[in-house]
Amino acid sequence: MAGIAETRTDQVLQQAPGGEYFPPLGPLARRLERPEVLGFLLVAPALILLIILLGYPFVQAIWLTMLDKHVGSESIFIGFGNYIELWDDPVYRWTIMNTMIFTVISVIAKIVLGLTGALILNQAFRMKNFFRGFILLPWIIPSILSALVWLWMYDDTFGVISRSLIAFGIIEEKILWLSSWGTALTSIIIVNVWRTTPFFIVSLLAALQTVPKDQYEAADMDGAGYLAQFWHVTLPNIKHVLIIITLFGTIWTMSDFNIIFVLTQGGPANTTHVFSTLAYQLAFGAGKLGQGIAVSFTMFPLLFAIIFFRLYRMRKEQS
Amino acid sequence: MIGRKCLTAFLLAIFAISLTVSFVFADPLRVTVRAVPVTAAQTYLKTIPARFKKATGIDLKIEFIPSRELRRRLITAAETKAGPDALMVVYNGAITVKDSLEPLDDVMSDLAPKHGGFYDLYKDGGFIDGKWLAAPFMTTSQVMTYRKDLLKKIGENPPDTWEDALRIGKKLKAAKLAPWAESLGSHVIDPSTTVNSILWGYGSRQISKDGKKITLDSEGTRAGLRFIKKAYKEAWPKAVIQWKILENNQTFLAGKTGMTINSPSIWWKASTKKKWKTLYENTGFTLIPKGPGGRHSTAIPQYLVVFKYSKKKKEAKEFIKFMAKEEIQLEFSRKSWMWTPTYKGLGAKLPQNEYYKVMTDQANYAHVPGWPGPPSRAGAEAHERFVLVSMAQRYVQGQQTVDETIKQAVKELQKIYNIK
Repeated sequence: MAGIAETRTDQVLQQAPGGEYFPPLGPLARRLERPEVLGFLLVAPALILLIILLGYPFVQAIWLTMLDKHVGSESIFIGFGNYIELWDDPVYRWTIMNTMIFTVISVIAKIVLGLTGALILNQAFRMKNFFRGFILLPWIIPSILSALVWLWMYDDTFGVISRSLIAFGIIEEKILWLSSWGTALTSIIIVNVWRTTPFFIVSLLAALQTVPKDQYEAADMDGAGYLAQFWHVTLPNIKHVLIIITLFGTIWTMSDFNIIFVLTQGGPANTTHVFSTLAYQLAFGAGKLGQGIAVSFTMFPLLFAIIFFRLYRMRKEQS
Repeated sequence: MIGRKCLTAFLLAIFAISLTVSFVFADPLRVTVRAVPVTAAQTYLKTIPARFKKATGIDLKIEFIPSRELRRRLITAAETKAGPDALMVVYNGAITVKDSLEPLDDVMSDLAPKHGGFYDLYKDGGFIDGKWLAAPFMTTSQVMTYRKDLLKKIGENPPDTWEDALRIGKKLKAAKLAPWAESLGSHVIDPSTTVNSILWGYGSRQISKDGKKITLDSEGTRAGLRFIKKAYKEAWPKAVIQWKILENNQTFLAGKTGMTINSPSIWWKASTKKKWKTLYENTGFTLIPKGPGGRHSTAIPQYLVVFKYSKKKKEAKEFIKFMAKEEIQLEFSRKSWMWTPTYKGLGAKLPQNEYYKVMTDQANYAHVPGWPGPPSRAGAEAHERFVLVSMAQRYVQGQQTVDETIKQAVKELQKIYNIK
């Protein structure tokens, strides 16, 4: 470096703190030196991609909800007309309630079962690794296939569930699982929980394995029982993973389509629709694209609030 | 200099090859149709491109998709203006995307007068706003399928009226034989056929002929709904409330249903395995029963539509003409077991057995959901959103009285049709 400094006599060389010399910065380079500029430039490609891949469709979707848009036809701007019309529709109001019930019960069940499953699989026992892999099966199988299998299981003539319950003397008459709102929604929740719980188990299992053993030993020495250890050691350590998977679980559950579509198609009497199936019925069945997207879009403020609240809390705790 | 010559020759060669390739492998006419479960019919459809090429010189590529995908493909193609040049649609699919479809009146003026004309039901889903937007292709009739041996056991003939059907159903149930069962779950095909056929048969109509008045609140609707509830309580298995489209096929083949309305797919399926030989021999067809308001049913009419965005409209229209040819219609009908020709006059040229006779006769009584109103998006929406099926479900399950359920359905129809 010293050599370079000597040969470039026409430039005023500057000396870095380490003693090295370098030429003075041009205006562009000086701007790039500022962290907020360089940082923005480095993030820019990803940001542009996000805007193209997420932002544009998102804004386009919002715009479509403001249109009286029929498939393949010219559209008319109607502002919030689609939302007003939807609010006037009893099926839509029923759908909001179904989606809430479906999501809340499913997510709670998945957390409880996921945590229980993870705690069990975190113990040392024979064929532990086999079971850890095996438990993932419902999650791996395409949801359309598992929904079809459950449809068969719920069937009154050939279904294994009713027949087994009768064989064991638990019930006397076949249960028509998909015949009324209550049993149909319960059946849908069961399938959703069965399918997604493995994800909760595996994620929580991974989190459990990062909990330092010495914390348990310390708690043990302090005389903490199993429950106290779980409450004061395990839970705080896996809290962040729990929050994240609850967040994902909520989003996935709320937007589930295949299970409900295969099992009930929103029936009987349109009482088991969730946002996604009603949106499909309106957009692909009736050809009302604007209104169908408006149904899907109803999920957004709710999901946004949940995500914002969760992440805000997490960030606050971390700081 | 040599280098420049070489380069010129090379570029010319590339140009010539590209020209040849684009000529030889010119974009074919692309048509999407549903895959046919009957192997012989599917194999026959696969021979169509070669036959079409021979007859017209036009390259054709047929894409087969599952029938449940047809509507999704229709909506996507219409909205994105990309996809096949022509597509098969069922029921009232063409109405939903009417602004994206090429009028086919020129083709239809050639085809319509032939062989005694088309069945009336094709107008319900194809003749839209005074134009043919969907050309008839074939129809799958819904017929009453019954077990001959079981009816013989209870000393009954196939039903001619809904009351006959109920009597037979009650007898089958009393004798602990495979019962009469009709799908009443949420689906656009079988449950819609059950509800529409009965309601129409009892004189119920959802809308007036001119499409200006909701006419569902009528004595015909009350009588039809009461009949459905009676049949549900006294003859049908309780599970039919959750049956969509497969269950009646499966239970019939398993010997657990003795009589049901369905497309002839049960009959065809029974022919495919040795274990169903007796069942196959004992399966009979009869017309969907009539009620005090006459004999009516839905069918599954299939059409071909041409998209406005297509650059091969002329070729697509040639394809429609080709598929309407007598030999194609008859051959495909024979091979498919469940598709019947579009023309009234061709039925007599099919095998003269009870099956084909019932299938072709039934098409005379068939309508597309939304009938008797003119084809409209509202009619299609009411069908897709299960307005009538839900009305029946609520009443049958005792959630609402007959008047309450009609009132709710009327309100839904008023909103859909935008009629006060």
